[in-house]
Amino acid sequence: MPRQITRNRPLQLIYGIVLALSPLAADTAEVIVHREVSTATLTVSMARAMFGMRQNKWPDGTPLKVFVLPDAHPLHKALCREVLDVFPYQLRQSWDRQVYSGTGQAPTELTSEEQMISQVSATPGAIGYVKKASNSDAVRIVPVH
Amino acid sequence: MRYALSLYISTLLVSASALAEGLPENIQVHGFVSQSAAWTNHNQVGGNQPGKVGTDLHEIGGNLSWRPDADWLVSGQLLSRLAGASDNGNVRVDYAFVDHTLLEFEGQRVGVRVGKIKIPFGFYNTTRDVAHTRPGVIPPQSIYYDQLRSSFLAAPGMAVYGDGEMTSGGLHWQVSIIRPEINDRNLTILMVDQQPGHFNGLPSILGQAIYDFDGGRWRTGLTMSNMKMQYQPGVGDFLHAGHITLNTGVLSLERNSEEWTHTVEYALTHQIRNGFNVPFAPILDMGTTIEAAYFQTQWRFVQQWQALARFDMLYLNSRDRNGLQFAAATGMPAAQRYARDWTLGLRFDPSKDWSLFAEWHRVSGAAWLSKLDNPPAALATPWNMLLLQAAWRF
Repeated sequence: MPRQITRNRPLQLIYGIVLALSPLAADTAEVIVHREVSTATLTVSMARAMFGMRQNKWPDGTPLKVFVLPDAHPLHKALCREVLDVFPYQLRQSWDRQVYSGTGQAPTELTSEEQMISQVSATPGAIGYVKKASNSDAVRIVPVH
Repeated sequence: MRYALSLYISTLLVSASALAEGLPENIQVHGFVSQSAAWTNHNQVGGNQPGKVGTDLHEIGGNLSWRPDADWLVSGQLLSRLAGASDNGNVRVDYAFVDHTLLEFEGQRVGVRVGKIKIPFGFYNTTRDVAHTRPGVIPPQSIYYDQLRSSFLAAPGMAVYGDGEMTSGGLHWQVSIIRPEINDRNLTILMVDQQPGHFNGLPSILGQAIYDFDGGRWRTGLTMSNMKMQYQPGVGDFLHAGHITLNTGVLSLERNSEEWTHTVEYALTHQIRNGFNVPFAPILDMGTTIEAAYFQTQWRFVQQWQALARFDMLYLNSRDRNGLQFAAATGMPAAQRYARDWTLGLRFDPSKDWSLFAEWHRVSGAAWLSKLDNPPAALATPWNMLLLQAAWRF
């Protein structure tokens, strides 16, 4: 076994460099909330219900405000793939079905990660997402299991 | 005049979209516009003459929703739909209701909706008039049968609903008690042919459950409905005040992957008819089973582009699939009793707000064509149709 690892090391190194340079690798998403949200962790089901716009409030009763980035944004794709385990087009279909049948509202769409941090930090009950290891004290990171 | 009106409504919508940005965060305004062109070699769609292009096909809608607090939602939508001779483009209330969440915890919620509510029926019914939410230019006509749309579209009533996200999947259900608004010439002609009366809806019940597995990679659905209507004879009518009950079951299945979506829906509608009492037309009091199904594949082959292939079939009497018994009994064309439609389509989304569609149909039979556009004696089969559509939404 050790021999095999040694033999594959150059390949792993190349793979590591490619990953580090690829834009996909940079976009690992992490869910953030307004600092006063009392919920410490979320389940995948809860996160899906929240980003799917089928949940109106936090367990403590605070109204939920959902912020997202455009469907084609690498960070939005990363949230769908890694956190929610859904395809972005399905999330869009779910929002459309609610918006045009009157059964729900659309999330607020922002254009950049900076805007995401400033909106989530300024809106009580807000949920959004950022790149993993983004350093901002203005919002709180909530692990999703 | 029609075009001036649609242009005026569209301009209003564009202004509304500009205003939408400045609204308070708990109020949202959305809208949509689509314009289509239809060409057929036989039969009429969208006000065309065979061999020519018709453009009497548009959908314009605008909605407003207001969430005064987390548990309440008030929403309404206005719609203008022009569809050849079968829909005249008049602006009407598409839905208007109050939604109250009764309980909510950890990804689950249960609530009620009261007012004029949209009716969940199969995968597409609640937003069937919004181009962006459809798989193609027209929804599969077997199940989303435009001549019956008034009975299944939206109706005054109340509904209890629930949404639950669990580790294994998501369950979305709704049970509605409604009184369908079916004073509609299309439906009258479909049910009893050219008679002067009309139908009134009676209290009806409808339920749907959709279960998503594996993050929506599989979606399954069951819709059951019991829709009742009564005929109101017109002046000089030889029909009596008959009743029709439509008992429908729809099974829905969808498989989603990054590039592909495969969808199958199958519906059986048992039609119970009585009380028309016309000695020389006993067929008016004979029940039938309507059978409808389609198989559809959507392929997102490159970003912004999507291809569609579909086979769609509708039999107004499952025991007389080619309409021959009907033709022998009534002397009317068999083609109005069945339709088998092969469709190929292409969709291009140049931006989030715009979609362009093109679609080719090869159809044998004509069961889903509007009888207001196509008097049965003039029906021709098989026939071809090309549809083009541009759609914008905000």
